[in-house]
Amino acid sequence: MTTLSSDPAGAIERSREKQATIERSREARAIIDSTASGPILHFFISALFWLLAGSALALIASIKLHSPTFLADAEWLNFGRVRPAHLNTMVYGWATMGCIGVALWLMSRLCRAPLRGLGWLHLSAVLLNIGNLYGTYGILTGGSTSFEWLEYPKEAGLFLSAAFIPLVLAFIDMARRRKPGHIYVSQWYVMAAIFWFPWLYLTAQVLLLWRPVAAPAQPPLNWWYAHNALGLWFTPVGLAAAYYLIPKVLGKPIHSYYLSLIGFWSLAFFYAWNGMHHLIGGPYPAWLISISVVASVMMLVPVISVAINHHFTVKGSFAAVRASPTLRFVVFAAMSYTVTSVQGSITAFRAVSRVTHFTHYTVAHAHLGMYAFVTMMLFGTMYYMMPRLTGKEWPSRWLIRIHFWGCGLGVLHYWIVLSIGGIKQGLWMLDDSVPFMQIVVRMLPYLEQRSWAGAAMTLGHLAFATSFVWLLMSKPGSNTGPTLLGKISPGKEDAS
Amino acid sequence: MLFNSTYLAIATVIGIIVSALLAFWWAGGSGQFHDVERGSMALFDPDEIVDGEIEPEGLHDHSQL
Repeated sequence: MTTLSSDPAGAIERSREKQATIERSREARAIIDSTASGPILHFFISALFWLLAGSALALIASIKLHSPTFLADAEWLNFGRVRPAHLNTMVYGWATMGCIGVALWLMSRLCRAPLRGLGWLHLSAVLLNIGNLYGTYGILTGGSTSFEWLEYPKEAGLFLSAAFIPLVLAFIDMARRRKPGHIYVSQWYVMAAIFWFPWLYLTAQVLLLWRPVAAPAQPPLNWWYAHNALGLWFTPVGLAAAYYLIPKVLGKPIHSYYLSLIGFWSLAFFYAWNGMHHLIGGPYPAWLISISVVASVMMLVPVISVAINHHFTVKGSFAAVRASPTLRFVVFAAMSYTVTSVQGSITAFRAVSRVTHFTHYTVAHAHLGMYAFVTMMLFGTMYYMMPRLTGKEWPSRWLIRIHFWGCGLGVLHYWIVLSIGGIKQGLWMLDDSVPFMQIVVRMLPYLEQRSWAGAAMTLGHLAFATSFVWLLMSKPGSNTGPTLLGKISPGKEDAS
Repeated sequence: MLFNSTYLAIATVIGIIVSALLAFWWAGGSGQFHDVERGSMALFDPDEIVDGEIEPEGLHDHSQL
């Protein structure tokens, strides 16, 4: 005020400058988003196709577990083929292609560098789609490799590997052109993930499929890859999205930037050793397993730092979480990350693993990580990105509600039912007096509930797909206001 | 010989740790751990309000395009 009264001309000039900065920032963001929209929509539409395909395969596999005569006359749909086809389409079709779209956009925005070489990025999406189609066909026709998370026939891996060449180059290009000198924590996560994953995938492909190592070394390699694909590929991209979206949507910086850096570096140092806890009880050196158990417990450091950071950033703004579709999914995903990681650390103990190993408990845990965390994070990020990439708002808040509650309640039901069932299954298997076939019969109610939970998640996916296609087909400007799920008071935080 | 050795598998785990160490060393050297306030603000553009208030325009508004 003093400035205005003492120097009105200067104040007006500063106000004009600020307005010009605002306009320049908006234009820069609009250019970044419109440049990125082609390749990213290519990745997202492909991801959505694989999500629906993977959901159909998941339902078939789940129903077969309690009704084995279901589709029993189709040999290409037997459980041994449908289950790995579901896992691989979800991992390399849905989650990988979704994560690439998210990572490209986050990096482009944070570096303030519009994407270049768009044709190469489209080629990358085409190669991933060919690899996924070939791989799924290969599994369903009996060509599975039998290595968990790597069941696609090895030729499919050539397409998937080649797809990452233009991607890695695009990320290096954006990093080199970045405008802010300080690297935000999301960029750390994205850049690390984009280098870690091709390294992991190539190593596993070469040492398990093209030039296999000695047989006893194959399971450790298999689990080193499978566990790290989640922890060093999907997890960093998911956390990068959370660290971008939570402050951005709430309009306030992250609670503690120090903690976010501790979270990133401790993940980088500890995660690579975690996979060996899957081999507890196997014929492997004790030190190999023990290092993995220790590393799994050390994961509490990044997990707790991320949980504290996210909680204290969101604290006081829970009304916005109810109102914003983005925040609903992202906060659900961030909470699931904490729960699944703590559960993982506990499960890594030998005494716990003795009960839970080879049971449905592990399946529940995997879905908490890959679905409740990674998939829900992808949904939340897409709710934020799509209006900006297309210039159009989401057409129906009811479809968003069906999506959120179908997927959210579905995955929670899935996790609770299979965790309880899995622990009981493990205890019965350790009891010599319980015949194995009796355990199979006792598990049937849990497996039926699993199918209902899967159906709820699939309903959510159908609502999302309808919403997505509707948005793409709608005319710009047909829905001008933001699509929110509730009201928030402008400029006021809630009492909590 | 090299491909038939478990040492290659162990080497790739060590490789990840070493690459993380190198990245950590670079981050320290390039000042990424100094002035963390600037780091936390790096995702905001100059026009965005970041003083702890909820910004209603931050939710799905075309003004951010």
